[in-house]
Amino acid sequence: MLYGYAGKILTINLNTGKASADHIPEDLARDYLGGRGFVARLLYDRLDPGTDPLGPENIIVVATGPLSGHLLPGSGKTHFGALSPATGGYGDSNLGGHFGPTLKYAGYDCMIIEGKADQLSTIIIDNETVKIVPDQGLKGKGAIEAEQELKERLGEDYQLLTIGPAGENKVAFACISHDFGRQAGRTGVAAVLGSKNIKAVAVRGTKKIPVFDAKRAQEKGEEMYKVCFGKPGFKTWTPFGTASITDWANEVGAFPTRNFQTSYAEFHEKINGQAIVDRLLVTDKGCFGCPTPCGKYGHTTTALGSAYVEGPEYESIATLGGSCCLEEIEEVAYANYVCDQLGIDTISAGVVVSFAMECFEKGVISAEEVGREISFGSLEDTVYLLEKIAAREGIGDVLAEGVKQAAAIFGDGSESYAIHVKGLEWSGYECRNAPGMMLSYMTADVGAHHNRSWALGYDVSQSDADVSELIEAGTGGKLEISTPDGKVDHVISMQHSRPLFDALGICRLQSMEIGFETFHYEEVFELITGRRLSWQEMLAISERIWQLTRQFNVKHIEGFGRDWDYPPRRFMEEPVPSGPNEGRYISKEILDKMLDEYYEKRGWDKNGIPKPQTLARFGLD
Amino acid sequence: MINMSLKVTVNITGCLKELYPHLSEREVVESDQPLSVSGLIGELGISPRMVLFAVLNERIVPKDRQLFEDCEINLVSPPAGG
Ligand code: SF4
Repeated sequence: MLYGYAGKILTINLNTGKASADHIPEDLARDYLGGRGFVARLLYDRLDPGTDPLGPENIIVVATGPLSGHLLPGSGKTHFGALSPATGGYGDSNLGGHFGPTLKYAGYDCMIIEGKADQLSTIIIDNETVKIVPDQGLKGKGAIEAEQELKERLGEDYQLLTIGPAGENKVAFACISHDFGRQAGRTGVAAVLGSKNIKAVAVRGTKKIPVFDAKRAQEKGEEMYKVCFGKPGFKTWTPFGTASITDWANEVGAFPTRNFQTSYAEFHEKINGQAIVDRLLVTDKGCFGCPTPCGKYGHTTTALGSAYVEGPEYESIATLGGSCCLEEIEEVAYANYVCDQLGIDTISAGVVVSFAMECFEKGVISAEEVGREISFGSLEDTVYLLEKIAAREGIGDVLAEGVKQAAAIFGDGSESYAIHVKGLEWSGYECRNAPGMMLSYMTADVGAHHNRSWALGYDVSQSDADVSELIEAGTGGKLEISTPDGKVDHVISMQHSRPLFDALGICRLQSMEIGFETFHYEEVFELITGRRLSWQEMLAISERIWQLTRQFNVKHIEGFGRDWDYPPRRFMEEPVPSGPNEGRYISKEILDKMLDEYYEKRGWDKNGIPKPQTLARFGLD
Repeated sequence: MINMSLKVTVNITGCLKELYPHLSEREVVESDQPLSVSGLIGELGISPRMVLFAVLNERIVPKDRQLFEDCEINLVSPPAGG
């Protein structure tokens, strides 16, 4: 018996309308733990090369981890994956909230959705009973609106995943929404759901999960909460959540501004964590089992309307605020709300919209093509473009494919400021003086996402100078050059430690932000599963998953290799024009040296392809 | 003669633990000189730019704040890319 797991994989075939439940193979749990590990392995095994990401043969895997749904801090995470319509390669994303634990209480660690429904439908799972119900007036509804409506229809016991119009229209960066503001935002998993004609998934579960030593696991879980509450970082983390980094990101010249033209926004104090607390905040909001609720639920009023919204998180502040230059927190929050209803990832949305703004500014696209004049800093223009993208109308149809594809169509040099890696838009850290963070983005398996490795701390801490003092002293805040020395090792190490939380099905923030020690996870893992694994042994599993997702990209992206790992030309050739990192950029030559070292340490060839002996070492041959 | 020695307890949080593995979560620093928050950060070998803010008696204090005998201070790092 697999303790800690619900024990079953639920497969829903939309072609036949049938669902089946199979036991989780023990070797899958042993070698991949769960969550991200299950997603990666099942996608790798079940998808053939040449699969169309938006065709019925693509599958969506939704997976919890062995620690999901148990009594311990941050155990509400769920992982989603599919062949990504944004990159054509490995795609995954996760969200918190309550869906994963409820799926587990329904008896399933994992759900696979395959095929295509013949009309827009909702999947309803009530323990063993699975129904596929045709659309009941949900077509075109906002993701949050649809969730509200389904909650009213089905009852509060159901946890819901919904997509908005962007998902229905297969926008490459459409997101899955849950719990009125939590999103699995990245890599376009919601477009795959939309391509399968699924508007929503509802789940209700009332079963128990077998636990190896239930009494001691409960005692350990309670102890873990007490430890969390006693951590010195506890009181300082929760009030501002991720938005507290906004000023800092500016002071270290890492804040994407005007489509990443520069890395410092003069207006950052108007869109920081304090601005959220002072001008928007209604209440804190957390996920299942969370002692440190980082969600900020607020209310915003702008010239375009008012709305309740969860967030904005730092990443949304960076891309909608910094990159699109929305200078007031109310405007950032409103654009965030529009994205949430349309079902668009705020990170990609901000990067795509700001890319269009720069293209317009440079005359690459005209007012006629756009349908109006657009400019940085305009909430109205931002919302106009977001709505066009979600509806795939006019220019929106091109932008809906993401900046890589849009630049290929617009041409005129625009690809050098289409800010992405592998087709996934860059998230909230500008890196022209941050080689470690640059490498993190370049080598992340899903494309330019920060959560696999956040090496920025190593880049920034290389110097002793206090940035705020430099700026106050009127030095122009010009920072020293951050060097690549030692960064490759840090990036590799973080690429194992951070995604490990996604395989266990828990939030990483209690560990990363308030210093919760990893030995607690070892202990509770053993009490729940009956399996003794040291953190180091778990990291080795995480490394196996990393090798597998690289090999997934080799299998699915024609000609995949080193060329897929470079950042946009802007970062390699254009010096930052202003702010603390004025004059900085990282040449291709330096990045090539870092890539050489990275590939060698990973056991990959010069082109970034895992060597046969490397695959064999991880049991992937 | 007045004894100027100072004993301060420092709590290291967030990614500072990852960046400075030689430091434990709770450090006791003794100094025979008056010490500010900045001075303390220097004593510990931490880059000042990795301290988002310092919290003394549950209040955020500027980095030039002087520390006093037996105080306990939290050094808070920037959120590390949630
Ligand atoms: S810290 Fe934030 S993301 Fe993590 S479990 Fe808590 S509310 Fe969810």
